[in-house]
Amino acid sequence: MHKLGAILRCCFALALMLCQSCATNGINAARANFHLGRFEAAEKSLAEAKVSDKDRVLFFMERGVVRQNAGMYKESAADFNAANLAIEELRTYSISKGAASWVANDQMLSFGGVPFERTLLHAFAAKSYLALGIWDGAAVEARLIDKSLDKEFRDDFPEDAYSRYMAGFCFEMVGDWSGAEFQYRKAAELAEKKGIYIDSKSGSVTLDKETTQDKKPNVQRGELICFVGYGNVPGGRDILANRWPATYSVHAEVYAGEKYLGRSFVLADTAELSFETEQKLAAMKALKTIARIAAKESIAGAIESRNQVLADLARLLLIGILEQPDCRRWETLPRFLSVARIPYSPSDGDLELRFVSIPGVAIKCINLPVQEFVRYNKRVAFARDIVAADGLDK
Amino acid sequence: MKNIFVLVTAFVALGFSGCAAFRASVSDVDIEKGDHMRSTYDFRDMRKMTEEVVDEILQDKLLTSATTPPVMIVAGIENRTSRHEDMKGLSDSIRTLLIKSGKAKFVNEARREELLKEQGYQASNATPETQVKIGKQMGAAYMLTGSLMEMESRSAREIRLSRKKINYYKLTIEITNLETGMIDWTTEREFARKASLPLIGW
Repeated sequence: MHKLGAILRCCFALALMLCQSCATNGINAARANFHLGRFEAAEKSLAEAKVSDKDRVLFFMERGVVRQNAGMYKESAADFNAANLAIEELRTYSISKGAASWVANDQMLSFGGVPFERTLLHAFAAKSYLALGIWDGAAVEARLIDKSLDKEFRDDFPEDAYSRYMAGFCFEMVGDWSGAEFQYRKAAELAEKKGIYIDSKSGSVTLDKETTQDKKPNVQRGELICFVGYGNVPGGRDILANRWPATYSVHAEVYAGEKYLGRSFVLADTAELSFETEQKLAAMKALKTIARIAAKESIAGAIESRNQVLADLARLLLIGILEQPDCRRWETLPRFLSVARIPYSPSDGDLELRFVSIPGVAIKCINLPVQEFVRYNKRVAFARDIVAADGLDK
Repeated sequence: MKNIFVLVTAFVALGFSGCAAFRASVSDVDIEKGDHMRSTYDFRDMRKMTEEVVDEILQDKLLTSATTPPVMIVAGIENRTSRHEDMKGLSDSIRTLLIKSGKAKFVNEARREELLKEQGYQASNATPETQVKIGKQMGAAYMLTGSLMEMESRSAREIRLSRKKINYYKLTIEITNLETGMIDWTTEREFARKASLPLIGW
C-alpha cells in the first residue's frame, strides 16, 4: 500500500512535468518568426498554437503585437482587450493553480504579466485605436493606463514615461486638455530623470529644458506624433541572469526627403523596467522557492523511508526537473519605446525614419507611414524596427 | 481500505449529483427583470436610462410646443468610462424611441455616403419617374449629443476574503440648437452599484 502511494506520487509529479513542458512552444515559434520580421508566419504559428488556459494572457499579448505590426489594428485591439479581460479574471486567486505551484513551480500559475507589462498592454491597445481613428477607444485605454499606474495597482513597481505620454496624447485627441496635461506632467517627472523634458501643456519633447515653449495646446499647428519602437526586450531567462545589451544612445530622426523634421526621444527602456521589476520580486520569489523545495524534500523524505530508489526518482522529478523559474514574459515588446513630436503637413510628402547613433551616423532607414486619420490637426505614425541592424540589440 | 471506500463513495456521489453542474444549459432572460451580474454598466442600465431620458425629452416644451416634429441629428455620445462600451447602441435606442413617439425626426448621418452613392447611381441608371430628387435632404435643426462618465471606488487594502467596489455612472444628454449654438435642453441620469468580489476561487 505504501509502495503504491509512493508510485502514485511519482506519477503525479511526472504528469505535472509533462503538463507544463510544452505549453508555450507555439508562442516561442511565433516569437522567432516575429523577430525575423515574418509577421504572417508569426500569426500562423499563433493560430496553430495549442495554448493552455494559464498562458492565455501571454498569447493575446503576443498576438496583439504581431497583428499590430502587420497593420491588423482592429484585430490587435480585440486581442489586447481579451488580454485585459483575462487579467481581470485573475484578480481572483485560484486555489487549484496555487496549490499546483507549491508542488511543481510557479509556471503552474496563470500568467498575468508584471505591472509594467499590464500598463504597456493598454499603451499598445491605445496605439491600435489611434490607428483606427477611434478616439474614444484610445481615451478608454488612457484611463486604464492611469488606473494601472495608480499606487494601489502598481505598488512600488516601476512606471514608465512612455505610457504616461501615450495616455496624455489620447486625452488630447478627445479634447480633454486637463487630463492630457496631468499625464504629460507625470511623464515629464519621469523623463526628466533621463535628461528629457516634456512640456505639460503642449506635449512637446526636447533635450533642452529652456525651450519647452508653448504655454497652451496648439490645435492650429499641424503636428505628427510618431511612436517608435526599436530593439527587442530581453527574454525572461536573460533578465533573471542579468544578461542583456548595455544601454546605448540610438535615436530616430524623421526626414521628408532630405529635410530634417525632428527626432525621437526614448521614454521607456523595457529591459530596465524588467530588471527593476525582477529585483522587487526577487525576495518574494526566493521565500516561496525555499518553502517549496523544503516541502518537496519532505515528500521525497517520506518516500525514502519505504523505497530509496523511488525517493531518488521523486527528488529528481520534483526538485531536479520541476523546480524551474517562471521566465514567462511578453517578449515581442520593443526594447526602446520612443516618441517624436514634430511639425508636419501632408505637403511634406513621404517620410523616412533614420536610426542614428551618437556620432550622427545613420545605422538604418525605414519608411514611416502616416496614419490616415487626423484630429485637431494632429496625425500619428507608428514605426517598429524589428530586424536588428548592426549596433542595435547587440 | 476505509479511506479508499470513502473516496470512491465521494466520487460516485459527485458523479451523480454533479451531472447538472457539468451540463451546458441555455435559457431566455427577461430583459425587464433580473439581477446585475457586475457593478459595471450593462444592458439593463442602458434600457433604463434610455427610457428615462426619452420620457423627459417628450415632456419638454422643445417638443411639446413644436408645431411640426423638429429634425435632429445624433452627433454621438462620448464614452468617458474605463470600459469599451457601445455608445452607438445607447444613442440608437434614444433615437428609436423618439422616432416612434412621432414627436421628433432624425436625419441618418451615419448613412450619408451610402445615400449619396445610391442617389448618384439612380441619377445615371434609374428611370426618371423612379429617380429620387437630388438636393431634397432635410437639414437638422438640432444636434443630440452626450457623454457617459464613470467613477470607481474600491475598498482599502486590508486582510479580507473579498474586495468591494462601487461604480458610479452619469449619463449627460444635451440637445443643441444648430442655428444659435445654444443648448436648448439637457439632462443627467446617474446611478451607482456596489459589488463584492471573492479574492479566492477554485
